[in-house]
Amino acid sequence: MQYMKQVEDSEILEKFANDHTRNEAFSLLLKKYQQKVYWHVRRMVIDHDDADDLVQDIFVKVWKYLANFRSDSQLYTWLYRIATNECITFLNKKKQKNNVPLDDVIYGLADKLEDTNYFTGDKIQKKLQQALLTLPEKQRLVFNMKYYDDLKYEDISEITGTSVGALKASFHLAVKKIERFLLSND
Amino acid sequence: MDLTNRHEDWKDDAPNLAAMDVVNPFAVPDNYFENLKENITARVRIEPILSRNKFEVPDGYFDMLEERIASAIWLDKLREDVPSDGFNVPEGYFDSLSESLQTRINIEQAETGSEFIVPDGYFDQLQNKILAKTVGANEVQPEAKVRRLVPGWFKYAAAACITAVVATGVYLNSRHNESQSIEQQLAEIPEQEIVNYLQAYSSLGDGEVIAEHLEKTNNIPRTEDGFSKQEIEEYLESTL
Repeated sequence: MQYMKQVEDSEILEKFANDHTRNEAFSLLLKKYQQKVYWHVRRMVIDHDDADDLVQDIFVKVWKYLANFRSDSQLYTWLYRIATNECITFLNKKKQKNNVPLDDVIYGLADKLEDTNYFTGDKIQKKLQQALLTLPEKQRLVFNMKYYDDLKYEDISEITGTSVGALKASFHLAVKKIERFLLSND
Repeated sequence: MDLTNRHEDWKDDAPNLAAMDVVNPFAVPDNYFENLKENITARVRIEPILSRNKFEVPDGYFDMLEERIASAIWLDKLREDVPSDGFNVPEGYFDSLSESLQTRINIEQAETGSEFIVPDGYFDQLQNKILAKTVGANEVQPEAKVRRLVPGWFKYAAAACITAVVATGVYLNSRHNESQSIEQQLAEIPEQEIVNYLQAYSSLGDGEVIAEHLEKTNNIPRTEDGFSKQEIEEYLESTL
């Protein structure tokens, strides 16, 4: 995924700090990051409607707390961190609300892949997604950010709060599991 | 989304995975991202209002909610299984029920008469008014003017006069009777006994006293023997 840097993050932050240009800054931010955030969430929750709700919740939080953002990290990592936490919280609630084992939650998400309205991938892509659903949530997150978003391990470390080494190990483990899944389920 | 042309060492560990095109298999509704920005902006605008107007529920509401929902579902199923409670009503009963109820109400209102209205606070003040007219009336009574036919002192004066007349008459009568009785008694006593008595019991000087007394009383009726009855009486009183 390539970043669409229509405007610099610094400009967005500067405009947002000004009450008169805050709305404009937020509009620029949405334009720049809404798709990234959406796909990051969608790949985790699979269902479009769930992703839509979560994306709105995420950006409402961004609006609330962007004024407190310190430039000790990059803006997009900060956004990803919020999005990641919301996804994990959502999936955990899904498990607690239905009082079902994690496996059942995974099977429920896998059923969403059968909805041809919102899944246009071929058979092998479906199989890949099914393989991803067998991974632990955080490991799936890491794999998605590395495989689909091509983020650097350092950035993923900022987002997840996990060391680079642990992330590399997690990713490689995920890759092996997926490979095994693809081969064993032919 | 083209995700190809990346050089990673993991591809050696997963050749099948590496051989796959990195594509996004998920789809979105048409114009989703065009509308997403507006949706998020609108949501951001109303979020402060939503956060202020938080609805609250009674304590333990959600704890009982599941049971209440289950009961409602069971009741609903029961209604489906047992649609009728077995009771029947006459045909057209409910159609005429409203009218009959209104007629009954009108009849009862006519029997009881129109509603009387009392002033505000009437019953609160009623007790005080009654007490003022009963207990308060005893304490202060208006004086009734009584007109007498005769003065009030007249009866006392009349009683006094009668009493005086009677008393005077009684007194005079008693005096007369007393004097007559004494005279009668003396008249019955022989004179010689009287002389003998005087000679026996009189002391020296008594004669002089009697003589003096006789000089003073010239109008005193005398007895045939020369001594009046009064002289004799006085003498007897002085010597006794």
